[in-house]
Amino acid sequence: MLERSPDPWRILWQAATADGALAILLLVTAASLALSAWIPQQPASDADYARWLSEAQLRYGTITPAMRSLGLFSITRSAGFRVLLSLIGSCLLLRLVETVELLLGGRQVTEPGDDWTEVSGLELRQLLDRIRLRRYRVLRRSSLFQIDRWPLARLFPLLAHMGGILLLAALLITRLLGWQVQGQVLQVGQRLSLPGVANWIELTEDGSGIVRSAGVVGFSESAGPGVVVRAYDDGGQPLQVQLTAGSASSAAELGSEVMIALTEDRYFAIPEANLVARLTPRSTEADSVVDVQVYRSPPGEIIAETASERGGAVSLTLEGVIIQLSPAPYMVVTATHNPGRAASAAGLFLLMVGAVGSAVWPARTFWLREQDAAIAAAGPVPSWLLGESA
Amino acid sequence: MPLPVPYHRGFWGRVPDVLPATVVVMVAGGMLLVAMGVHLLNGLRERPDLSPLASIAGWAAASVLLIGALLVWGGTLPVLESFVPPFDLSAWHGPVLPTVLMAALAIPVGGETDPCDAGGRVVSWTRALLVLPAFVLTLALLLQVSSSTASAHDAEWVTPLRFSLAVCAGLGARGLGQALQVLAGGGSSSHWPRTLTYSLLTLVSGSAMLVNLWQQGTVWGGAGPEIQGGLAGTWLVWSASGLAPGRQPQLRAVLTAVAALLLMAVAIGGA
Repeated sequence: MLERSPDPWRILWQAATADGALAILLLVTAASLALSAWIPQQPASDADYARWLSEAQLRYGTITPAMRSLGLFSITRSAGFRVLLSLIGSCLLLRLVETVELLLGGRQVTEPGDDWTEVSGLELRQLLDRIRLRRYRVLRRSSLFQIDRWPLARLFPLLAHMGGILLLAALLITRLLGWQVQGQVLQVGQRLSLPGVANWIELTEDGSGIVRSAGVVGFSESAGPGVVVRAYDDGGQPLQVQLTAGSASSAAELGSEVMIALTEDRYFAIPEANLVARLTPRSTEADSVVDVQVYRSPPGEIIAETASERGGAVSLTLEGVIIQLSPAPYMVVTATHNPGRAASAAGLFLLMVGAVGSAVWPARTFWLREQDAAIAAAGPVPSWLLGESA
Repeated sequence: MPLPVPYHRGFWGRVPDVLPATVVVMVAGGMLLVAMGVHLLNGLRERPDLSPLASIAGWAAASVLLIGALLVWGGTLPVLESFVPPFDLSAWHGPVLPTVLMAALAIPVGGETDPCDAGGRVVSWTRALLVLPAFVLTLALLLQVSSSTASAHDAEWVTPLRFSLAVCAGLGARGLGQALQVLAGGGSSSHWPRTLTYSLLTLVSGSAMLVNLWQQGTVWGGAGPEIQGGLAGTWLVWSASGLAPGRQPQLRAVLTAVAALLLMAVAIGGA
């Protein structure tokens, strides 16, 4: 008689859907994430790269190049980590199919694979009554009783698997189609153009909130004082104002109205009047008082010194020149476009409900049978049952 | 941020400032040492049963640390403001905040039942292992209180996420105690600290990510790498421990112990 060889596809399926396989993948991912938390990772932006590199070299010394070649400074961006996430996604997908099958086929009694152990103390009927009181379901086939928590205990893993798959898919969408712009300084009246078609972000008229185009999320990282500077001659004609040193982003800005975010001490000049002014915020609060010093240029002597009202409003008249400062607080904003946002939220919610439900209401199946006036049990029998029957 | 006055002096100069806190922590540590000693003694001799003494010592230590945790975490609340001035809390800064809460919650008071051997005799020496994580945390607290430097502004530590993580880690420390008990061969009949920690951790990290998604558009938003990697890694290890087969309790115990230690490291980790 020919012996049937085991089906390799079945073996592969069982290996891929086994708890052990998922546990190993989760542990490797956890180790990678823990390493990425411990080892400072290479920043995504070029602006922070030099600072990060010097810190890494100071911390790890001569082994820095070796660590770099091993990819330890870019763990979560490495191909290996992405393969790991893909494997988890595939594993969850296969387990989802199996969980659906278990949920739908939950009305069948299966044979226990474990050894039987004898329990005594109560009659089978009393035992089953107590089991039902604890909201277990009891299925019977001849003298065999299958006790489980169908359907809830099968539904929670289903939700957790669905949530995990949805979250991973959303992360992929975010990675492929999303973008983020960080650390942009915005003042009232300024509109920042963002990547993509017709994406923008600006502050509300009172400077307290953010207005953005559809599909963009704006987040305020910090806020501070700022002013709009205007200058006029004694005939009321506007004079040109120019930002000077300390204004990296708009060093060449020249106009009759200039906005200055007071992230630090800032200077502006009025070339037609040979005046230079220094603005110093007293605090980082949006309505901070601002100290104003005005110099003649050349020779650089102080010709006026005053403090503004709260918020920065002040008006100075010097040698026929009127300098007006109006409050225009700034915000440092991060703008994000995340097409996978809704899917991420749905995935997270399902994962939370599924994981907590599975922990509190685990899928436990055990069996009882009556044989020769004795009761035997198989599977993970709860301790309270053994306690009551002892 | 200017350092609080005590940190401008040397160790001996700071003794008067840290003394009340040190005494409080030492009293709690002493109580826990008594509880562990009683459990060990019970394992060696069956009579007389000194378990009530261990229970009283555990409750006393938990009460002392809980009062400390309540004052340092809730001292700014109007209802507690008047209780704070009599206590000198100048030494309770930075990582001391989560550690005191964790130590208070890690003490096994109630809930854990006696593991029995086949003959029904109580194998109580392994119960000392239930107290061990709380005792080690109290020792860590003692070290922090007597030698800590103000590494970060308290505002960075007193946040809802930090508080929730400290609560999770405190309960996780109970799970660690039970895992140690299983590894020592004592068995464990109570699973609620492990289940509660995992459920709470899932809710805390999930809620934090949902809030970030809503406010900042990304799952992690402005969270630091320690929180991002540490919290996600810890949750994954807890999840993996739940997948370990029930027939191999020691494997599950090892994973639970690793997860609990990671969680404690994340909770105490730098802000």
